[in-house]
Amino acid sequence: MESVISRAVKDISREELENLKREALKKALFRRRATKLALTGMNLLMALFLLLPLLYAVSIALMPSSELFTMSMNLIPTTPTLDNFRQAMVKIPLTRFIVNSFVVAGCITAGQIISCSLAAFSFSFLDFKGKNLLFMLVMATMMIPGEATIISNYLTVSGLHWLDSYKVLIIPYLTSAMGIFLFRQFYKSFPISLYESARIDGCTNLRFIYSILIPLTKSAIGAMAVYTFINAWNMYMWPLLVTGSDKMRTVQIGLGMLDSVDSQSISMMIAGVVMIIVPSISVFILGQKQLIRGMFSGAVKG
Amino acid sequence: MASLSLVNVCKTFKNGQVAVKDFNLDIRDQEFLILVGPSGCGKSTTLRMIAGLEEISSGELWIDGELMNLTDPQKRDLSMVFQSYALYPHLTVYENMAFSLRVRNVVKTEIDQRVRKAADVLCISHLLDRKPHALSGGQKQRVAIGSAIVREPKAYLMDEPLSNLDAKLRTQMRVELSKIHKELGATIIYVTHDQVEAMTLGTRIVVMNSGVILQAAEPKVLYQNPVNKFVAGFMGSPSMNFIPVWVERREDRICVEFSKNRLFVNEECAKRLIDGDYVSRRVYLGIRPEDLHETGLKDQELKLNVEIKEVLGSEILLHGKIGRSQVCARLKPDFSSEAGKEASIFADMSRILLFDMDTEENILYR
Ligand SMILES: Nc1ncnc2c1ncn2[C@@H]1O[C@H](COP(=O)(O)OP(=O)(O)OP(=O)(O)O)[C@@H](O)[C@H]1O
Ligand SMILES: [Mg+2]
Repeated sequence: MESVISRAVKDISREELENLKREALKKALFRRRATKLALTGMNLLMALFLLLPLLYAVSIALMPSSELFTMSMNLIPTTPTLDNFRQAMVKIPLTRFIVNSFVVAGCITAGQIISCSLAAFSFSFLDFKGKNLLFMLVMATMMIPGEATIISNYLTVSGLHWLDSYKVLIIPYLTSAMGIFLFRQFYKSFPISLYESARIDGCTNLRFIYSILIPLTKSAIGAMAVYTFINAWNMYMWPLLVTGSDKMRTVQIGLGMLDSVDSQSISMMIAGVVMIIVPSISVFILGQKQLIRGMFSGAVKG
Repeated sequence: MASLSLVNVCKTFKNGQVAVKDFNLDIRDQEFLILVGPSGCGKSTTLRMIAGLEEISSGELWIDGELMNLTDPQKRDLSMVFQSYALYPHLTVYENMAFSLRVRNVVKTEIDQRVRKAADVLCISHLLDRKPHALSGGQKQRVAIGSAIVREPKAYLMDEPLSNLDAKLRTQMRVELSKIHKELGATIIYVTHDQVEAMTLGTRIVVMNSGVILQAAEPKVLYQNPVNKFVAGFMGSPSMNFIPVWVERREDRICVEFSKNRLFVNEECAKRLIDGDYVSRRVYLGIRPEDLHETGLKDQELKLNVEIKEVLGSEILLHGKIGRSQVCARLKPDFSSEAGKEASIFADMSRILLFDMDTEENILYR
């Protein structure tokens, strides 16, 4: 007896079959391309919408102030100029501020990554008395707003004669409850049998952290690093309080200095903003690759 | 290689769950010890306590005469194959297998040589450059075994290492493990569910149930002389038939009776039954499927109402009822019988076992 399939195939000639296939392929391809095109178009539109303020800021920074204060809607400068940037650089030592901010934000980021990941490691992999209580205490510190402690912190650091130095900007921020919490949440999904296996293979805790844990949690570290860096870069209140000289100021304070009551120039201030946004955006672009990838497929039975 | 001793080892988890109770066992040097038991009976927990991954609640663990209760796992010099593979996902197969050697600062050429040899034995040489996510379950399992055998530790701990392989590979790996055991003179502690693995690999089998050891003995002894009904039913596949019977005295001989069938027991058996005061009481008759034959004496005959006939090629399995008891018989393939009909089968009375109704202990235990 003939099977249903072979009979059905028999009815169509070879050429017809090929044609059928080709047509189906064409349709599928067209559909796929159309979807892709529509999605790309929509994404571009959204991106433009979201980036509008930023792009407008760039365009203002390139405008002479005469163009800004007109009744007509001026989105794009007619006579672009770099004057605003030059003025901002002359008015304040912006390079120095950017360097300061980089040093401070970089140190804070490195410090937080190291301290938070180590703390989170012991909270999630080690077993010790009072672990949960200690963790609750750490979490409790998140409930206190930073502004509430700023005065007492100021008194402490001034008592130590640390004012107006890098260490006063960096040391109080070397760890954060938020970071510990985030890392711990991330380690929770880490298969514990890998830790056990590594221990039997002869790893000490430190060896495990650097050979297994860090490579496998790159994405968490990347996310944490970007988040911390941008936060540190944007710090305002604390640096304003504890720094006095141009030598130690950070960019956000510098921006504040561009604004003076008697000779206010919006376009110059915006030029300053644009200059200090560039580093933080570039950090984000470099870091975001790490944010995307998940790395756990294939670790355990599943 | 080493010998291990577990003395009164107990494990109680934080939530009050008692996983292992009073575990006493000496594991000799070069022994291939098998732990078997139903799911959740504490096999993995025992293994993890030996490895140091789980704290021992009470009792002692001795390895080579040294107390190891509080020693860190990395200092016990054991290697373990996990039930859940535990491969490092960011390392290739080669790096996975080499990892424990690298940590111990073994020279590169030696690492290479050992890894390649292990990969050869396990038929995974062609996979060395892959990452674990690009492997099938069985391949991962073999890599896990490979990572354990590249080293020569004091003892190998293996938690169901062959559970995800197909029948053919499993047989092959079984042979390889046997070879490794002989070649290295290794001490191996091995957890399994598989009867065949237990019987063929082990030099000694430990049967556990709800955290206690029921019996520890050589495979043959365990099979022929189980301490109780649980062990008798657990070893062997299909498992032993249990039929509730009356012990009676007829014509001055001792026999067991159940639903119109009567079987006379041999002398030694009769003596045990009389000594144990079992006459006119009910006991369990235990008989293995392969001890039911297609021919025999008239007084060994049993009438089996066949329900299902399974043809396995080299043999057939008849499932059916004798009276109200479910019975399975393993017979030659040319035995003529059909589902729904009655078949005559003959019990080998020298191989039967009898179990106490209440304690379920083997009355004929030697
Ligand atoms: N961390 C734990 N906390 C509480 N109870 C546990 C824990 N780990 C295991 N148990 C319990 O201990 C008992 C023994 O578990 P174990 O993993 O040793 O079983 P097993 O014999 O290996 O079973 P399987 O053959 O299914 O692997 C089980 O009842 C289990 O529920
Ligand atoms: Mg288990």
